[in-house]
Amino acid sequence: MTPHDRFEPQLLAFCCNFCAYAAADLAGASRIQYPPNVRVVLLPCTGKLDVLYALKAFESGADGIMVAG
Amino acid sequence: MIVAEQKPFEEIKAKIAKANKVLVVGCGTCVTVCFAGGEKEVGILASSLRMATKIDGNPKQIDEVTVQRQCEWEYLDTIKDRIGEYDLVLSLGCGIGVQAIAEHFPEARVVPGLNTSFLGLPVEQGVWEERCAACGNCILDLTGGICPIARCSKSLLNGPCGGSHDGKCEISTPDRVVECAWDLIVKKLMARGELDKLLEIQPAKNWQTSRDGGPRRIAREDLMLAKE
Amino acid sequence: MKYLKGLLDQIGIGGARIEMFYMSSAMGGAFAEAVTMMTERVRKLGPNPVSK
Repeated sequence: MTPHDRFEPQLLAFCCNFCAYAAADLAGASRIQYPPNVRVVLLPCTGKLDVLYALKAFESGADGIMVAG
Repeated sequence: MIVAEQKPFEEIKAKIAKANKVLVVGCGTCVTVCFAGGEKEVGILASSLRMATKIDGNPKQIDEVTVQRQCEWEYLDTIKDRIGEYDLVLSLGCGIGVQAIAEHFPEARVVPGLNTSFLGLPVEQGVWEERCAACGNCILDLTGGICPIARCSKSLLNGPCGGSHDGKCEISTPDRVVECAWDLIVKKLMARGELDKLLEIQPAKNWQTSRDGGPRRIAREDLMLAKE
Repeated sequence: MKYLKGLLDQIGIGGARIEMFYMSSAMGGAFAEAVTMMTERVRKLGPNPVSK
């Protein structure tokens, strides 16, 4: 398999405003490389995450979900 | 309130296997409060079923609606225009809700998504216990507000029996401790200095008001609409 | 998280597709690591069976 046709998963990251979202921001600001497969969704707190959010994401075709806080 | 529990996912999946268009109907009253069949549980179940049936290669249209109370015609009327579009209705109401839908919409095929368990209350977060057996002849004044019909395994009216050990019922297992209702009653009356209440001879309980008298009915003329 | 993983297993999506990570706002490296780890894991699992 060549790098071009390998499976690129679509990830969704639910991030806490005060921890992981800021960490992601810092990762960007300090130019740390990480895979471009992730889309970040900001939550006021990971406590706001609902089972329905995760199910909806999978139903809409997300391949994986990260909850970061 | 009425306490219910969702049926296992596989059982629900099997029940809807032959249908193509399913309406999941929740109820906004008792089963919402016991986290079994409210708007949120309807959303989770419908989404899970949509995905699971798609993965199984048998995708279905599964829609959601939650009515305020499945057990009253007025609230069921809010879905009367939609219900004909579906070949199956999956009710997340208690047994009364399921039957009300079946009676109000005779053409609809209804399947239950919950097991209606008992009349009870949440004793702590996530734990419900039975408190009333709806015997139709309340004696809580005699027993310190603790019901021996619902809470004694034998529904004894003159306990405790020989199966009571250290305040626990003999049906207790390491996983599930059942309090002896009569131990609770005796201790409560003792603390109140009312133990002599138990010495009064009570006439035999009339069980006709319970299930022994067949299906029950209450008709109140003061509330019924006047007949023309 | 445990309930959700169980639910996803039941549906057939698989609980491994969701994970919780703990980090502070000063841990940019940890975020990058977590994303890399999760990308690799889900790449091995393949596409979400629902979107086929």
